Amino acid sequence: MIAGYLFLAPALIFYAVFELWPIIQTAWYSFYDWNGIDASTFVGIDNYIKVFTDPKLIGSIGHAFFLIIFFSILPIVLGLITAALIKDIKHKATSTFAQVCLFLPRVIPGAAAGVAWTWMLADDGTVNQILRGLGLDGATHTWLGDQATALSAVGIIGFWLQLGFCVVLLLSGIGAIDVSLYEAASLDGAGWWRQLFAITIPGLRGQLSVCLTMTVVAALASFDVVFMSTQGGPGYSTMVPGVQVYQLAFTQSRVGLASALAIVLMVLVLLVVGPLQRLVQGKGE
Amino acid sequence: MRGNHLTNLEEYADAYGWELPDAQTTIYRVDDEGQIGADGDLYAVPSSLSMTGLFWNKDLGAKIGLTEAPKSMEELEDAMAKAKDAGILPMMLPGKDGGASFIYQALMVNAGGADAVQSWIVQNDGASFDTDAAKTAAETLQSWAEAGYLPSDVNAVDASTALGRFTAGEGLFFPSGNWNVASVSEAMGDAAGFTSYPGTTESDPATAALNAGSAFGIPANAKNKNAAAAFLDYLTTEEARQIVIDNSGYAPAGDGELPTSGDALVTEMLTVYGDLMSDGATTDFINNATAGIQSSTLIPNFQLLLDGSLDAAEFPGIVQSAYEEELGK
Repeated sequence: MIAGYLFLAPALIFYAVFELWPIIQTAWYSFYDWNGIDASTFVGIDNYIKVFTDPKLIGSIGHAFFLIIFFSILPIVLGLITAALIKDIKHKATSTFAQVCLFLPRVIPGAAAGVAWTWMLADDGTVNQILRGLGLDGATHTWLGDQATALSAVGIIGFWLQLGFCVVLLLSGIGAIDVSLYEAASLDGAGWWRQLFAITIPGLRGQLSVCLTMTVVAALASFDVVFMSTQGGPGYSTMVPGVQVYQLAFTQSRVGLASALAIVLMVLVLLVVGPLQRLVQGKGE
Repeated sequence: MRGNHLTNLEEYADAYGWELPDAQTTIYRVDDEGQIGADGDLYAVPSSLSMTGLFWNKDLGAKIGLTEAPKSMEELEDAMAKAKDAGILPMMLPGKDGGASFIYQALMVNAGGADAVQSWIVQNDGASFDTDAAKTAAETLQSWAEAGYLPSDVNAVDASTALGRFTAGEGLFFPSGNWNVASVSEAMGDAAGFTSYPGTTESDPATAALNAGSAFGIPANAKNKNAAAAFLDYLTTEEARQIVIDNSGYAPAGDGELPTSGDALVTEMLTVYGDLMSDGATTDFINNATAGIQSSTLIPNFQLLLDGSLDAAEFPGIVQSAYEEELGK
């Protein structure tokens, strides 16, 4: 019994010191008004009230939820279809090449991807050049400089980053599904889509749950992509809690308010991801 | 200074006989009640001065008949209209990181005077941003955006992109400051000019925002305060001032004759600086009024002003509310 705890101890201590303690500290700071340098003043739940009543702070949470569409739903849906397609590729080298290409974005640091995409989404950047080349001059936009398109443009960067992860994870899951199931289904006359919904998706419960969790967390906690591409602008149209916490704490020296927002974000993520996991995995048990 | 983390430098100033002009040090003086202002004691010394100014492209200017830098805002607007008609971008502006603030501040000082603006920056009691001058400046800036004087993707352009595009020939005017003098001079040579933001008419004073390139203070718990003070004294010598000129585009701190430079653009900057010191209207930067106002309020609201989604009349009120909230008033 004791041996078990001893084995657990190093990792547990590391986790407690570097993960649990900072969370407790943040919660502690959230009840104070502090500029990070001088003495602090106790303000009770004032910071939390500000988080829920300031339209900018609430708005940033709204934006994070909007990003779930691009960071989570799109990559999973398209990832599923892509993985199913790749599974069907007979030629091993092509299949491997496709997987490598799709996974590469995941290897690039989010900040670097943010910078590269900022150039590509510029007025004279790659995206607009392609549109002009196709004769679609009217469709060109200042993607990151226009309030109407900025958040979606940031979403596209996130989609590009998350797709490869979903494809690789789902592909590995598909590999574990018994091939005979597909053969039996084909014999019974089931087409490609029917097989996807009846065999593939149910068989991928575990992987889908992991995919959903990781991508939803990426959307709600997003920082590097938004910070590098728009810094929350133009105006407040792409502000997300991750960037807002950074600005409040380090640029505006309002550590208490930043901590409160961080705690609210953490609770929200848990509230979203918890039931989601139970929903997706629960059915399988 | 309010947290008592810095050493009071008055004794050193007396002992060494530093003569630093008020314009350069007001923001580093704090009195016993924590009020920033010229009556307070000195807590930091600038090593060099960053100063806002207007770059202009002399080659593009020649195309529309502009041979000298504009001496009034009227001339500036006239030149911009002519440039627009000639198919030249009138003004390059980085909207992504708040680059509109320099020319906005110039318009605001022109409309309401430097004292009101400086008073707000140093957080004097009763100072407010919600003034007619601020509103006029916002309306003017917005009208320029509507007239197409600014880049079409202004809110996606950051400072380094704007600098790159201006030096590549896009834009007749580029509101910026002496921190870019070295880069502009290297990229554009004789084609570049540097001038101060003009007053409303030719008889009104030119304006600039001035601040330390780097300000040096001595921590309250430093062990070798006298050695640190000796370095601060060095900063006021001819040698140090010449080093500043030779190695950066910044203006030298301190009083007295200005060092000279071989670079034409640096010389223009020094002339502008000299003229401003004698009869210009200088203030600190509005971006520095509180720790957070630049990123929390100025940058996003300038973006909203430039893309037309914010009514210019509301701009001053929004800035003032954020200012009051951040100062806990």
